[in-house]
Amino acid sequence: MKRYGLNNVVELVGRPRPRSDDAPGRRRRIVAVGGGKGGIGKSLVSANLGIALARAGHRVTLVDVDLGGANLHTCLGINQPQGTLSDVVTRGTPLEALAAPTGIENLSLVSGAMDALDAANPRAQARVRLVEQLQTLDTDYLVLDLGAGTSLHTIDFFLVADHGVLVLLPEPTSVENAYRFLKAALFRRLQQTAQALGVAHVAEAALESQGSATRTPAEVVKTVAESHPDAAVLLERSLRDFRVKLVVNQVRSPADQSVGRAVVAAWKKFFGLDMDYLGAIAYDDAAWQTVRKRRPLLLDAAGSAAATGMISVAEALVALDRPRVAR
Amino acid sequence: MTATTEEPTLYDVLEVEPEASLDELRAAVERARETYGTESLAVYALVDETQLDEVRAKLDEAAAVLLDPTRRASYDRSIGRFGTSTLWAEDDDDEAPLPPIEPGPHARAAPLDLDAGADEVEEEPPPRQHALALDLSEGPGPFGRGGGSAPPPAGVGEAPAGDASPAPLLSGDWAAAVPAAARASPPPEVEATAAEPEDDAPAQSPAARDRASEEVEISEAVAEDVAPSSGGGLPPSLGLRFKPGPPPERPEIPAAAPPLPAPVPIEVAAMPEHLPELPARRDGRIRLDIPSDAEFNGELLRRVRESYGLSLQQVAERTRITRIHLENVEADRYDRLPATVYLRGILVNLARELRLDPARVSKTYLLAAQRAHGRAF
Repeated sequence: MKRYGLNNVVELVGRPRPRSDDAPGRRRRIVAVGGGKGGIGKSLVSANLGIALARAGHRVTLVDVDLGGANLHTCLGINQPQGTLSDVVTRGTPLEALAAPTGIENLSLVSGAMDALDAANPRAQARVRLVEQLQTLDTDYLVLDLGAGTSLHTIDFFLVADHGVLVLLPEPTSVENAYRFLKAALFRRLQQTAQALGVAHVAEAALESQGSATRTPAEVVKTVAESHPDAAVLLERSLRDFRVKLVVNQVRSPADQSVGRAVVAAWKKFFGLDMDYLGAIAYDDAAWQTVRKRRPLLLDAAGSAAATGMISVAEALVALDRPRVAR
Repeated sequence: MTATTEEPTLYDVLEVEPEASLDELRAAVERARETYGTESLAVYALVDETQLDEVRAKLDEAAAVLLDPTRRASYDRSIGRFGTSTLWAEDDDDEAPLPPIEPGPHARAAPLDLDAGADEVEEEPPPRQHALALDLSEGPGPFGRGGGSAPPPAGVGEAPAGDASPAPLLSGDWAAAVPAAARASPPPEVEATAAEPEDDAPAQSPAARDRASEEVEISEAVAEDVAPSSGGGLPPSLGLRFKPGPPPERPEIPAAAPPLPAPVPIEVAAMPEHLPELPARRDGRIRLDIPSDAEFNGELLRRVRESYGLSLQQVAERTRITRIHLENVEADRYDRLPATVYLRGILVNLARELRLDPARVSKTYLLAAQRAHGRAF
């Protein structure tokens, strides 16, 4: 497969990227934690995932890309670092210079707080620079804490990641937003890849022919294959790479426990795409209390049910990389 | 999988291997119910209701066929799989005391039912009930005609003089009971019926009563037969199309209950204090009992709407379907209805508002429209 330059975001997320196996040696992993809805524990998951990975000996950089509502530093119990992502965007400060220590070994934080009025929605140009820097940062794991909603830059960060982690709560509002987020991301991936491959018009037509927003990727690929078989192969690969990692947070009942598996099955059934289930995190007063105290869950309530779940989520994530890295 | 066609096989639908044992199939059905059932969070807002209902219908079909050894065997043949029946029969032999294929109880039970049903409906239900119950609880379930959701009872149900109920399983004998109730002469004579223990059938005119109570007995018998099997992991209907819950299990109406129920729900809409006594108690809603295989036309939809005491105007406001469309739907004026895509949307929407199964409503209504009007649907 050809390697494409990282000229712009469309290139980045749109073209099929080289599979990780192609890259020699250890390689940084980008993990993006999203979920569509606010208040579902994205920052909590990001922070503690970062801690768990760091404790397992990986070098981890947490990046708060919730540009309008950055509060990852609060989850970690530290003050907002001096430099933030806005310096990258506005002054071209290198990302490395911004990574602040967190007091936890192997773990540093880049704050995303952007106070300039329009900085929370950086222009495409700025986003591209940001993404480029993220991709070249010297670290093992880059954990991006995404904001709520389905804005383009949120989705692009999700698509850029090696692991798009979707957090959802077992409740209708969260599930609804999570699916909206997923579908938006999938659609963007499809659109961009098709565009990069020069078959955007075919893909568009395929999407619209049935008047349904929920045509399966496979159907679109099939339609594209009729006229552009080569492009269809790449398109399919790109879509297949859209393999979301699922975390179900605040699980209370046995029925909640099964939601994760059911979501994976339903997504596969209707969209034909695989999803990896990383695990469930128990609803736990301890988690809530640690947030109140502004102390990370894994440090302050290490034995709690929520912390245990968090650790197994981190382990499941690392396990996904293992076979590839070993190769 | 092994199928050479492009169409997914019923095994694909349930996401099992064609060699799957009965237990594996049951587990798969249960999983499917958890994942795609009406209560499942995992499909909330994932796709539109029509798509979902298509999948549910396929799952229902797959379960009905694959959990029934006879139907499974002939299905296997139809997709070019020979000898599977032997395969899985062996599996089950290993796991359970009673091999499903063994001609013994199964072979005897079925014809017996038919004879019995034809001749002496009154006498037979209890014995049959036992026979079935035995089969279900002891056999691994392929006997499970009872387990096989909709079709089996239909087969059994042919017996009682054909007038009876293909779908006692889900919601009682709607076809016989409700229209009768709806048209029957009102309350006075209802008392006796309501006092009867079988409260499943709404009260009826005396003429219908005898017949009805027979039917009720039958349907209860069948439903009870099925219930144990659901303990074995198999709900009578998958609960995919309709909400689960075998109605006859409900406790009887307390003796004190005032004897109005049946004819009333049609007229009375918002009388909360009556709710517990009405036929569809389990929802806490006033509702006509509608079998899973009901064919919906305008008339039936109108009756359901009226049973909620909703005016066309109210439904129009709540569903945002224009009143004209609603009127045309209820009057079966197919030629004035919009194109199928839109019509389906209207039907699904309306069905949801009326707490009906959207897939069933749109499918049967569109089919009727097609038949009547020759529309290309």
